Amino acid sequence: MIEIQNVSMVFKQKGFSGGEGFKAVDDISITIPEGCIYGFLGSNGAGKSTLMRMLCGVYRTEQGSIKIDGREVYDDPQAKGDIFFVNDETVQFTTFTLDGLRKYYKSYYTTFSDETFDRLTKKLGLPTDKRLAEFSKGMKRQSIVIIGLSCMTKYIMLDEAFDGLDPAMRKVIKNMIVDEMLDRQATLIVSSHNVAEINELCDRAMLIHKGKLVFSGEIDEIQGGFRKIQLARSGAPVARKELEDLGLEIMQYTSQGSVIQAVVRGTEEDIMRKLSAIKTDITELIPLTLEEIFIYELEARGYGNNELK
Amino acid sequence: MATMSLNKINRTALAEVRTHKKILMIMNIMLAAATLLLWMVDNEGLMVLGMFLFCVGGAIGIIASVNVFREMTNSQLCDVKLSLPMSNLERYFSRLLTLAYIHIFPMMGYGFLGLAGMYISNGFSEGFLDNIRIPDVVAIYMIALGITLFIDSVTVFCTTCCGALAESVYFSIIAMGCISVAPGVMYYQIANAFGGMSDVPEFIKYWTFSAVLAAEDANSPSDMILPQIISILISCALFAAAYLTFKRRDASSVGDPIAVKLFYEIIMVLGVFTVYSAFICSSAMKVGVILTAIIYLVINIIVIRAKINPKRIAFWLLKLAATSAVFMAIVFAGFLTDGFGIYDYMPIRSMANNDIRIYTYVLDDVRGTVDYEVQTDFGELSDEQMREVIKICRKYGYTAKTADRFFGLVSGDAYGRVRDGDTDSSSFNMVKVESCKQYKRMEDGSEYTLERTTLDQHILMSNEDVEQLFAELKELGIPVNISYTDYNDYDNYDDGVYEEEVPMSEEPAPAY
Repeated sequence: MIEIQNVSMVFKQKGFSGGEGFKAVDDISITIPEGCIYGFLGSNGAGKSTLMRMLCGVYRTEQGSIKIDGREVYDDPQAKGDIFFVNDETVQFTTFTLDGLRKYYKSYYTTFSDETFDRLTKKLGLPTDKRLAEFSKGMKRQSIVIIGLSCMTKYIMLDEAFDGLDPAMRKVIKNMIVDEMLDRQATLIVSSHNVAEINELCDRAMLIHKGKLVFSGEIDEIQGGFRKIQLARSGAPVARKELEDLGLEIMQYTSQGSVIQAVVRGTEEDIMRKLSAIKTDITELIPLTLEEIFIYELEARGYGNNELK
Repeated sequence: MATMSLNKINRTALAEVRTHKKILMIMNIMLAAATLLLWMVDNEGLMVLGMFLFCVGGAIGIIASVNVFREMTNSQLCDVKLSLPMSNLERYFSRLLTLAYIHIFPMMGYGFLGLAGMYISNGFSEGFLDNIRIPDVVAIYMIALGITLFIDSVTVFCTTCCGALAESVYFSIIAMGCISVAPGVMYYQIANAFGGMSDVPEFIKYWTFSAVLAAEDANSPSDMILPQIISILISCALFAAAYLTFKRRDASSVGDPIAVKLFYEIIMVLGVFTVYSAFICSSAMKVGVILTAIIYLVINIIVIRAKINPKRIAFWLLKLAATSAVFMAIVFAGFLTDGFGIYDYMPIRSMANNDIRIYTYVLDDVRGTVDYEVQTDFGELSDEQMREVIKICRKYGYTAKTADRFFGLVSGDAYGRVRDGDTDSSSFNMVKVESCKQYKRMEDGSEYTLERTTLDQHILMSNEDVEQLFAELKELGIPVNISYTDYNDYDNYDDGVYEEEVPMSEEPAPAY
């Protein structure tokens, strides 16, 4: 289990140009249980990658604590031995052959499984004696993921690992990861801008914006906590103020004639109970996709200036 | 546990070595060739080429060190390496061992083979290295090892303090230059200008790169070995200091040109001090100031990586002014204390065991005077007599603390040492003959030039003072043989009169 408690990270201004630092992660607390696939969602520069690097001990945790199975991860080889981190680049591996990478990581991870490595390389038909520089982007990504899976760590962290891959390649890599992770009850943490991908792959997720945690939990629970309502009333349409007076938390509101649409935070039962206090001609509640929740949450925080829709 | 950790360090170091195969191959090919060339003792040209290749091998230490510690300057590699299951201490030692495998061990191994082969083949073929002995070979080996470790330790230290590749390279080069040059030059300038002594302690004289330049002047191999041992220990201390910054570095400072700002300030101060030291007490001091300002601004502009405005430039110039003020304060302290007490140390006690020659040195515009040469051997003096000589010599030194004299000395005015109102001022030199060099003509017609090298101290005093000093020395029972040269015999004499240039008169010296 990974426990993140009140974690903050401030980047100091680079160089000697002065100025204040930048708070990339701001007091985040989440728990990632074992055996799940956890998605880190967020806009560009939200702090997903920073948090993921803190989880891997790449950044020192200056405020708060990050514990992997009860051990502070930074500078702890035992805790790090349970993690494999795949960042969003592959350029650092281009001088290696796949076999060279195997030898390299085998020196660091005593748990490295040659059997898994051989099986996965055969399955994907990757040459082990060619330099990665000669590989396509998808093949490079496959190679790193194979290495990651072969290290047999308890946790694998993929930072925007599927970016830039075509849909077919994404599917191949995702299936390979999910199959392997499920087989050995390992935990996968994935960060992405692609909400649909997280929705499809993960059973838990969190949304981070400007370093602050917006929400976290099981995806079903998250989706159950938001509804889009459509209300039609002859005469005057239902005003935003009216809805707010009912105790509804409105994230987004539009009206067209006598029909209004609003995105509301809350469970279906709770929203229906509150709406029963006003008389409408039509009342309709529509569940939101994770992508819609992502957009509305960020929009509610002023991100994208309504251009995301 | 410790064994496991060492195994891990070695295992991961070997894994890292595989990622630096090219450097390892280049090192091996080049050093193998250099080793073979060193064995060609009957061909000086090939041997010099071999030594040059060893020097290049040493310089590759910069590339090797920067590459081994590339995670300090490359964010992608930093992500990978810092997430691997190692503690900072293990990772650091793993990197050092990697550096040893690809650079230090090849330099040591091939260096040993090259020098051993050179020594053995010289014995067989009677090559041009006619007098080479085992201590000489050991001294050369120690110099090579000392410089290799110096290059690597400085580069590793600089790389752990920098977050960008460019800075880690050029700051390493600047640091190496400053560390090699600054102590010797600063000591020399202060000692020479205010202490009247042009000697530089052997440790500073023969350390780091200066060992290569000064090796020829060394009296004996042991002169070189001890400074090199100290130099190696300093390199080890630098490796240890590098760990202190290494363990504090995480990925957040990668990409930042300078990760440790204190390091930057120290290097800049050291750089300014080095350039000033090279120019101070010479007429080119103004050139030094301008050059320093240009270099200082250029480095700041490169490092800042941000918009430059007049306010920022003014700030840099203020910092430079403050650094210059500190430098001048140190120099002034040297002036007030007669070269931080070096003057009081004169003459060097170790001279007592050597042939000592005292002679006067007449400045170029002092014509019509007589140059006295006094030759004696202080080697026979007891410690008590030597102390008495020191006391007498110090009495005649001119150490007035006036602003005119200070600025005169700083701006390279040698007459700053001369007492105001003196007309016939002479410098009084005390010379320790370090080695006697001669011209030698071999049977095959080839010629070798051997020159005499000396360590000397000089104070300026009037001719009257010189006469009194000689009289006192004679009273002390020191056998002083005096000869003199009448410069009126030399019509076109312009430059300073040197012993080698002016034939001595056969006339008897005046009695004192």
